[in-house]
Amino acid sequence: MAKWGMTIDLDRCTACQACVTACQVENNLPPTGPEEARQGRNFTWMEMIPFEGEGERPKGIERLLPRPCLHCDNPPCVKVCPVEATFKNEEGIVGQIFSRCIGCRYCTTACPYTARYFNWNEPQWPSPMNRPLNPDVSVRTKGVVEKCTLCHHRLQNARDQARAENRPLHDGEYTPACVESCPAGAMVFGDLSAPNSEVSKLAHSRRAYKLLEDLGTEPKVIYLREGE
Amino acid sequence: MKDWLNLDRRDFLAALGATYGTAACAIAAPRSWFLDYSTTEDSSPRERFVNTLCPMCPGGCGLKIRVVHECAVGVRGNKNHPINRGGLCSRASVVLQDLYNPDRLHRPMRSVGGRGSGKWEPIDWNTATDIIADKLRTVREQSPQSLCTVLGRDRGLTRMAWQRFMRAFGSPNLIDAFPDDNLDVHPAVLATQGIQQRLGYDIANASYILSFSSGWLDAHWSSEQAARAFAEFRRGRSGFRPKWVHIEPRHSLTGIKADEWLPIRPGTEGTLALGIAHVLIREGLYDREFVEQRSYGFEDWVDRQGVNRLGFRRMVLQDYAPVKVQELTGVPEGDIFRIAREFSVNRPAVALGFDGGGCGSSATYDRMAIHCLNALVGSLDVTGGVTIFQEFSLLDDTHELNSVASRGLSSPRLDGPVDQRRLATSAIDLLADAIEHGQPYSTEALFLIDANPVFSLAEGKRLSAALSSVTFVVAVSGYHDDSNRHADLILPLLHGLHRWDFNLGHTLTGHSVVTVSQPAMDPPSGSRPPYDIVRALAGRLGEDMVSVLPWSTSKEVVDTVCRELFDASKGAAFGPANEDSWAQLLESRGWRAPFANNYEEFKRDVLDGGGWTDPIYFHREWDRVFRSPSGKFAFSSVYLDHSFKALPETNEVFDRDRRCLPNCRTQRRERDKTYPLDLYVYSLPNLVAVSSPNLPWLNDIAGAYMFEKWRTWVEIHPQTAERLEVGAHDSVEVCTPQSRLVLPVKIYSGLMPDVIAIPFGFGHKSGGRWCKGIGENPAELVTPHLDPLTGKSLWTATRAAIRKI
Repeated sequence: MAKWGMTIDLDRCTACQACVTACQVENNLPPTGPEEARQGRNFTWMEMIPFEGEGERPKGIERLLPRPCLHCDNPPCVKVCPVEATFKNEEGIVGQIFSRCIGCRYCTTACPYTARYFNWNEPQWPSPMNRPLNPDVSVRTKGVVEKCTLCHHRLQNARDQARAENRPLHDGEYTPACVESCPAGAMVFGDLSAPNSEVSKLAHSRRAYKLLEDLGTEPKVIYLREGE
Repeated sequence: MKDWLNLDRRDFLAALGATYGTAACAIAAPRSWFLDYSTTEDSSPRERFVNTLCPMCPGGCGLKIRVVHECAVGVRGNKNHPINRGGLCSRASVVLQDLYNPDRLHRPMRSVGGRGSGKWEPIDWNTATDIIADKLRTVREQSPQSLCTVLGRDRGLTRMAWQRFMRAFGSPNLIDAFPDDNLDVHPAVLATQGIQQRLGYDIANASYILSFSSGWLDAHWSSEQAARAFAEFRRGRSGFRPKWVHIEPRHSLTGIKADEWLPIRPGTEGTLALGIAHVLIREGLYDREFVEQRSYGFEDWVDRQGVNRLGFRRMVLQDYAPVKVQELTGVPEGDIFRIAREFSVNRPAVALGFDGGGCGSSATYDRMAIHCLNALVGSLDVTGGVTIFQEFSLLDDTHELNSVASRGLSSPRLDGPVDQRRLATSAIDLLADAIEHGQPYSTEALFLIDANPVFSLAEGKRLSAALSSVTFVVAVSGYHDDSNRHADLILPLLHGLHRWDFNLGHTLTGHSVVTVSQPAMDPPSGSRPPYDIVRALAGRLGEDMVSVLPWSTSKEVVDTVCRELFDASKGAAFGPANEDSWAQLLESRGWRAPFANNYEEFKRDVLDGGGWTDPIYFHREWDRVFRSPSGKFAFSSVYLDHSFKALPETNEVFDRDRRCLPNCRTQRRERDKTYPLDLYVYSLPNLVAVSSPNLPWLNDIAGAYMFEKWRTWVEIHPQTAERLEVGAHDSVEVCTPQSRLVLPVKIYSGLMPDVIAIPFGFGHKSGGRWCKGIGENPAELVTPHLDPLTGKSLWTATRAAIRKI
């Protein structure tokens, strides 16, 4: 059984946010405006997190970190969900059953990476902006929590295709939209359990680190630090 | 923290006084729960993918559009496209938000209630064409030169059509709204190398990069290529880590990713480059072989009149000692010595001068000074250095001019006589002045083709007033904007994904790329592609006009492009990234793999693949690269000498001896008590060169890296803020001699003290629901200061003051 994961090489990343908008278009996130931003109610599943420098001679923003859901192997969000709307499947993907979520927001509080978002408003797509919605992904309603699914629908489609052609799923057939769009090739996705996969090698390289590792969440999105 | 994490669900719920009996639920949820597929009615959607051109900026990337039930529902990068290789930028991903934007214009409209009132009535295409043709007929009879066309970012069919139309009409006034983003002549390359070509930097293969206020990761003309080149630069060579030093007044996104950021006073980048040149020359660290064999004007020289002229070496040694450069630029002397030594030792080293970042143009002399650094270390036309794009043109216009056209074309241009202003072909910043004063003649009709200069120019307000005085203004636009508000008629711009088109582009390594655009879906009924608009007008004006546009549709134009590419007998349709070196080796020995057996097969490959590229680029073709009178790199430019002879008014400004040399600032600007601060305006990375400002996702993320959303702010250094007694939650009035704006304060330590920075991108007065009235436009604050050699506005010369409110 595959264990899907991703590495993000901060030495390659230019913080261009191509991954952010690619995710939005793939996963049917609604457009928002200045009013939602003022209330802090707009969101993107993939977020560019800036870090300000400190010390005697700070230089302003010194690091930028693209942050999707980290698909923890020990996910705090799953433990607190009262209705099993969020779960970790056998391939390690932390999923969300939108139609089951009751909107209690325990999971948004429990996630140490703030990678879960609550729909405060009914999503609106002023016509004809509703036309290009991705038919593979359901739209969410007001009152439910949503998050990155690692573009799980792409896995389903790739697996269906492989099944139809009576062959196993090949490496590289399933790639989330953020990874696919990255112009710098900073993100590598694949099976972390396959020792020879590129992602697995990178995840075990000496530049690899996990975000807030001491929490023991064991994220499957692994960062590669800048520098040699 | 560990205990908290190990809290199981039961404990968590118990603590909240709630009990749920759902513990037995299975982990593996049914697929229908995880993803609701009910959004598609048809269980087998008719799906297809179309390779086409990204219309969001002129970079020329290839997109693969997913179309389901004749509706575009997804966008991916074309993996075989040599420019983006499957990658997307943030703008390309939102192309469908642009295509299906609720505020997009779909019908021609006529202004009612007076121009500028913002009131419009829809009219049909024939009426619109009749109105325009009637007016143009009169203009052409009386003075064809009084027609002016301002062209936006386009490197393909629209540009070709309007160039032909204007030439046949008899008007020299085809003016670029964004000269730096288009195919304009690069002034430094023209001055020093004598060629009218753009240049690229082979960043991926460089060992050392010095970038001067060149926010090439923020605002590159080809952001996908820049990102890929950066990634290759960083991690492409195992066991070797190249170095990159970025010099800019502000710690920008580009500076954040560099190894080292050096703050500098705005507008002094050229002075610093010459300070570095001083160290290279004094310590003998420059490439002697290149300088001796391939350059001219390094040492003192004698001109045609037999007069002794100052050489680059003596000028740099006399005027740009590091201690003096430190005083002018704010960069410590020790850093200047260190950078110069590093730049010399780590070759190939490349100095980047001008690929975005700050707004407005850089001064020609600054560009020249930076370009001279590349010559000093022998980085011209080498791997890892500067590449000069191959000359390449399609659909050349060879029609003979009739007497009306010849007469009109012999008139001077509205934006200054091009033969005098030798280092730029177009100068939009001079247009407002020409219209206002009716000099050299009055402007009777003006077209705005996908351009919004009122928003993007430093003197936008003045141009706005000038437009009101033009007798007849027509705009071809996708949306309402600040410029077409002053039009008599607006014709809707058909979206790029609905039309046939092409784009002439280049890779950073110098290869020519032609991307072909084909409609991803049928265009909406009643719409007209931009080519059809021009051709319909030409048809109404007479046989001589329509004969220069012989193709009846834009599809036929693309067919001719394919034919010309096939007849060129070089290059091939896009394919998987191959070993360019193999193709190069074969071609250098007179071999060529034809890839296609006949034209039809070739055309099919080009359309299916998305375009054509010539993967061959030979370095060190000196005859191609240096076409200055000496046939060498000109440290001292004879081109500039000619320019000055043609521009007598500038002779007083510049020392005769130094005017041919990169002549950067050697005096510190006088202290201005009223306006003590320098204003630095920079582009917001995700809003650069974007075809539409009405895209909510882009506006939402544009300021994200500064913790900002949906507004314009002013960045102030903590020391400056303390002195001015301004806090993080204050609003201040930013005053310049030009205007004043009230903006919220952001205290930012990534700035040169006494410099304030404002992002450019928001502040549209007209437009769609996601841009109108949001933020402020800092272009209003900029004091116009024109480069005498190009006529382009230099934004970095603006002084400002801050008043707490």
